[in-house]
Amino acid sequence: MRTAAAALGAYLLLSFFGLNPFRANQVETLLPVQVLTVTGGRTVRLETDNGLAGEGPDYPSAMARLKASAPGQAFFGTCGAVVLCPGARAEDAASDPDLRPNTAVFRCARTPPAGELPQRLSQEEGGLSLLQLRQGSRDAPWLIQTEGGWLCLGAS
Amino acid sequence: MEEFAAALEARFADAGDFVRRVVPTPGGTVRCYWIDGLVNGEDLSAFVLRPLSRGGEICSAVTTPVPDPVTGAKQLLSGFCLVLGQEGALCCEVRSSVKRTPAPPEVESTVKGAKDAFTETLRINSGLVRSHLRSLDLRLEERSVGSACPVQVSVLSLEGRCDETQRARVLRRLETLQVESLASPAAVEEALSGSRRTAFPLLRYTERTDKFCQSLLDGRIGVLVDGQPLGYTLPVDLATLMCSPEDLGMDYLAASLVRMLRYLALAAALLLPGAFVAMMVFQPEMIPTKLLESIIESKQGVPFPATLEVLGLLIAFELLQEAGLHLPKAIGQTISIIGGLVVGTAAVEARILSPAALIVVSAAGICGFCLPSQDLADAVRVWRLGLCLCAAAGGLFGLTAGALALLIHLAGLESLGKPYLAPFCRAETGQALIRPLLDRSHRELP
Repeated sequence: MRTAAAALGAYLLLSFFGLNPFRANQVETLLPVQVLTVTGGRTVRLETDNGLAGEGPDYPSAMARLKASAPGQAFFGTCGAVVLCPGARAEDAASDPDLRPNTAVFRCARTPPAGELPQRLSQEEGGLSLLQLRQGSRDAPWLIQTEGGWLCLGAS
Repeated sequence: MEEFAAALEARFADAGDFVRRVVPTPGGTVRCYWIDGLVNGEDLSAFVLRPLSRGGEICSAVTTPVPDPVTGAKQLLSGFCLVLGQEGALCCEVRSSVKRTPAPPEVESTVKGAKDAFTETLRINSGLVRSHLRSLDLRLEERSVGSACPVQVSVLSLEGRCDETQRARVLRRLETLQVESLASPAAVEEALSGSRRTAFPLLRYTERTDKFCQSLLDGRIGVLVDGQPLGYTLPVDLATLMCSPEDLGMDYLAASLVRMLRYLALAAALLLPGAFVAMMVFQPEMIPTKLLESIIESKQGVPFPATLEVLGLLIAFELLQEAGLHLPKAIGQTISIIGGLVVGTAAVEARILSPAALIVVSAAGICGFCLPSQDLADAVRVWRLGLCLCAAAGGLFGLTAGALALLIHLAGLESLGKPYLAPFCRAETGQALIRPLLDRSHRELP
């Protein structure tokens, strides 16, 4: 009983000082993202498969605008693929703490419509992960549009 | 004689069922006493009163002299007739034969097992055990327990199979027990297992004679208490509580599969609501995206967070179960139908609850019903709620911490000196999960 009370007290104390490492979600407001496309250039543009978008001078501000304009909570925990389009900096995606380390990274010569990609990319098992990107690897598979749809080149 | 009679009558001065009769005999008069309802009137007349009045001898299998009024009073309460003459007092057994006959078990239903469940009469119960185990090694040691209302308690064991230290420990516990009575099953359980700080059962009860006898054959100690239609066996461990005697009536593969399913059900009953809360609130990325999308859609318009939904449903489930227990059978079933189906469906349709939460709590409840021991299922219900709170506080980390605490708690439990997780802490896990094949000598037919 004493142990339980001590554990509860410690938990409340951590929560009071904002040190609780667990962040609760309101699940009904979540907008799960499966694919994120990043386009660079003068402005960075982010698009997700569920219709969210954000633009900004750099990646963090584009992400902040994407989150602010979302009708709920943009949830990147389910994001399975990041597509780096022309001008996109790989380091930006690699340093995004919202993306999971095993998120697959692809490159594309032009910005694809993100809504078309989840089903196609879920079939790709190999390729470069965000963790490998963080560790310095740069050999991401390429997405090429063909008559039959999107083709992935370079994935194992 | 006069003093004896006065003392005895004073003890039963307020007893309306205490009968006193003066019987004229050729050599004078004798006084007869008995408790109406505890004796068989026909036997009393034929084998005690009539022979006495005709100067003959009392015909009773058990006739013993009574040294003092206190002993006499106790014998009267056991269904004896006390005959008080000038030369002393005698008591003769003329017990009433109004007893419940063994019937099929009501709580622990069986397909292939014996259909003679224990009754409230100790002697019938011990006879049932004897008829199942016709062995000279069967020991039946009796003790009287209780200072206010003494109750006969039988300790049964098979010589050569049981642990003598454990047997001695049970007998010692009964002998040193300082209780007024053993009227309720809870009192017996507390007395035998000691005052415990755990929700998990430290002994097993059964109304099935075959289950009780199998436990004796497995080297456990059995306890029968007069007035209770149950047999207790101890020591127990988790694997014992997860076994059903029906396992032995099935083939090796089917029995092993069912047993493993029971362990899965145990894990699901314990962890499912907590895992759901943890994943919904803290780790939604653990849920497959399609399923998450479906859950999010079903949660739209539901006013309560997932934690409150699950906790509320768990409490509602417990209330329904409790209501079903206290009501007559027919109404109990109606309550289950109304509570489970009508209210549940209406709550989902009215968007008070999400279907996912309802499914998870119901699945956990059904898994709890798969456990063969009701006491174990009760403990699981308690811990399920605790684990759910841990998950609500710390997600999967909290759930894991709670599960570890449970494991530590179980590892610290002992039943009659035997570790609660015995088959798992030794390298016998396989035997706990899979029903072992019988020895070759038993398998080969002559």
